[in-house]
Amino acid sequence: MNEIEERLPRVLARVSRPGRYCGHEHNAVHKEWGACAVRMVFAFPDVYEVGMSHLGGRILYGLVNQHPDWLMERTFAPWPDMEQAMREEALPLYSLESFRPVREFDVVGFSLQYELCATNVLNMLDLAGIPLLAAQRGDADPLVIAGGPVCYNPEPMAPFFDACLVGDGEEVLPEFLAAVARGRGRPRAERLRAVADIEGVYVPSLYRPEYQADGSLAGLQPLEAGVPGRVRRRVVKDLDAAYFPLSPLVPYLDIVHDRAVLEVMRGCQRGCRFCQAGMVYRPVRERRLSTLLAQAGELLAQTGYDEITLASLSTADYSRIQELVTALVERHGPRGVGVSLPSLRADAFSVHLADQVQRVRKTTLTFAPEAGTQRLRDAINKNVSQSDLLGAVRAAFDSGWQGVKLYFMVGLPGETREDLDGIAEMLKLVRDSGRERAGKRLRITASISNFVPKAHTPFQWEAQVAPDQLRERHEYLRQQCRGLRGVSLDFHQPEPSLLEGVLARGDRRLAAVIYRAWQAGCKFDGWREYLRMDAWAQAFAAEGLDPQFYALRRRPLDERMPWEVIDTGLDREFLQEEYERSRRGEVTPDCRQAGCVECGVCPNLGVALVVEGDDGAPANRV
Amino acid sequence: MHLRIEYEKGREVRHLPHLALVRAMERAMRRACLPVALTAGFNPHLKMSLGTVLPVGVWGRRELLDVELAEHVPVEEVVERLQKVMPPGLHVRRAAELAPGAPALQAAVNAAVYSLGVAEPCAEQEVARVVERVMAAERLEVLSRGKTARVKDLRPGISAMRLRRRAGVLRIEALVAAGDAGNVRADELELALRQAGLDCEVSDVCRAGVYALADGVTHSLLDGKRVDAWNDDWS
Repeated sequence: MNEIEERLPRVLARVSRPGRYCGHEHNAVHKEWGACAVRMVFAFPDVYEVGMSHLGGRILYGLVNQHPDWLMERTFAPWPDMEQAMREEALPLYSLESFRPVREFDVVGFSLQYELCATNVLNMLDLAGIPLLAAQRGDADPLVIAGGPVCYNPEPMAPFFDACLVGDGEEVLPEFLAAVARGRGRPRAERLRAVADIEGVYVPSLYRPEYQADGSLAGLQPLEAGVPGRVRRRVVKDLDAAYFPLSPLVPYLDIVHDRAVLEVMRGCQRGCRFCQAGMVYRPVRERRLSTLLAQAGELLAQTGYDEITLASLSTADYSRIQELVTALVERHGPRGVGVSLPSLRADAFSVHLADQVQRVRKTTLTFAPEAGTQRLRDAINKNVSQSDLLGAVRAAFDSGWQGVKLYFMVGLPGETREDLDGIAEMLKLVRDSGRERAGKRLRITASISNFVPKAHTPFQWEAQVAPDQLRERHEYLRQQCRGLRGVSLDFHQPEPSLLEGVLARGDRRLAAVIYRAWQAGCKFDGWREYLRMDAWAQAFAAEGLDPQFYALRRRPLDERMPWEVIDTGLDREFLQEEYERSRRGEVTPDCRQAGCVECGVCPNLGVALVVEGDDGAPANRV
Repeated sequence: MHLRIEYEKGREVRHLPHLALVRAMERAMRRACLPVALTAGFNPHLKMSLGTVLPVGVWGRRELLDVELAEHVPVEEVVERLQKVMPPGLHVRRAAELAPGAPALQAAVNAAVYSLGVAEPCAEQEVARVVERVMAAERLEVLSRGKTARVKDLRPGISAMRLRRRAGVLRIEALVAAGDAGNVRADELELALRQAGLDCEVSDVCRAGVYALADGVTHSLLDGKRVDAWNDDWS
């Protein structure tokens, strides 16, 4: 037992949920420190329960630890009460496996899942005793890297990271760690220059942003010969053959998603124009049915979970979903194991699937129409028709489901009052359909979020709608839905959406704002009870930067964007074309059904769509 | 068949709440592929009962849980299969088949031994005096935190108390009433010790075992035999 482990119990006696901080979970990997050439700590900048639900972390944990000479441990953001206790006791941020200070590791890797985790990253670095700015780190400090979707626009956080790894971690992380092993003992600058040669690794210190007089980006200038002008995303070509952890960590504590997770496929082809994930995770790559069934069996045997979830961006689109669900229910159902689907297409087929898997129908089915009129749904390329949705709702209520939840966005490009009326109208139709079948126990919830334009999407040039206007639209909707019995509306606050929007399409100057916000005590910004917009407003003002410039301005089509240093494989022309088609209300079909839509990803990255055919052979390799 | 399993909630996982333990045991049973009986109805779960709750912060050397298996499996095999798949921090010690109609754990447990580690620096003499004071007292009133805060007299619930060194650590140990008829909790015990003048910090709290106490004699809840709970040497 080392010093941290010895001192921990006293500290844990004063905090809530101490189980977050004591490790010893089933399948945690303990390796011999001295015997490992590279030692990495996976740092998730949110609380344990959220971080442990993240599939990417499980994959990388297993993958890295599988390597005989490498080690990966974990650390999470301590909840504010634990942070306070740690600071009072001078206890540094430590890893959950060996209780070592995080600063002793060779690599500290942050998984950036959403923009508002920024201050948590800084807070964790501070608690670890690692200099926050990459420029201030010396040879003895760990390499601090980032991965995850926020790396598709890494610029606002660029000064804090030595490197950002873009794309599928299974591809790029092992190459990165091998380079770290080779570079041991070399000066820091030399090591960073070496990793910049790995495809998918963005080293911010090797680029200098330059700005135009109007404040927009003039460019990101590579500072050394041979440093690529753009960093290309890494993609796992053959997901079926790719590593998948069959003995993942099983936490003691109740976490957000406490089940065995099977990754059915990666990528989504539907091409919804607002969705960054659908754009940057192309192409669809499915796993074979036989592979999934074998993985499911092993996963359940190694974890003892009583529920297995089929994860992907749109699981109902998996080409053999019906067979998969049937086989899983048949094989594992009798032993009391349930299957769950995280998201459903808005059609009756999906409801039929849901019927097969949910043991108890008292829960709620969720659909995401996103917009209230066909016109607007076409503009955002969300392929849901009203008749499909009503058919799904009818099927749900007929099967005995009592609750339906519908996701909508307010603030979409070109949104008019008619579109808001359309939401109310849709809710009324759903309610009427439900009333006939489910009677008084009917529960319809509309979850209304605020549209945030994201980098690398056709809407990346769009202006986000300002908070006060969003609030007006929320109020209008409330009024339109007044008196609709059985329907409840749930609105997302506009201010956090604005902050998210600024960071999502920001440039490197925002790092100073993030730093100030952290200094002012901001943390857990993604949590309503902790977000302090006043502190952020002051941080912006102190740096002379205006949130409106980043989020509320419609950008000219020829503006250089900070995130273009990252090459997702999508042709810029495609995004622009999609933007124009959205203005004309034209739909772009799914390339799995309609053939190539020329987004550029497959030829640019040398990858292909991988879809299982009915006979089990990969049917559609372009 | 009905089985009673004795297990340890290790010192390193003492901060886990009761529910986490229940879940961990359920998963271990599934990993061991034990044919645990399922409850009927829409949402079947394992027929398992963990008896008295071990609170957050307290570890336990000889905790008990009852489980019903749908098929007969030899007891030694159950123990072996479980031991292979237990998570770190939880250890299965032994198990016994329960006779049909044996009283449920909750009802059968009426005594427990608690062991509180005393942190250095600490004068053993001082602690010994505290123990004497507690045992000499006629009443030991503490404000019990429970569901409704109330004043509770712990003294009748404490059968014996002494000091003992284990692996070099000084420990205050007490045989107390547990279960439905008069329960002395670990935190209440600590309160009483503080009120009697204990200044030193408590390094850890352990429930050394749960028992059935009858006529001044402790009996094992696994096999019903007499057992010297007081002199368990923790090997």
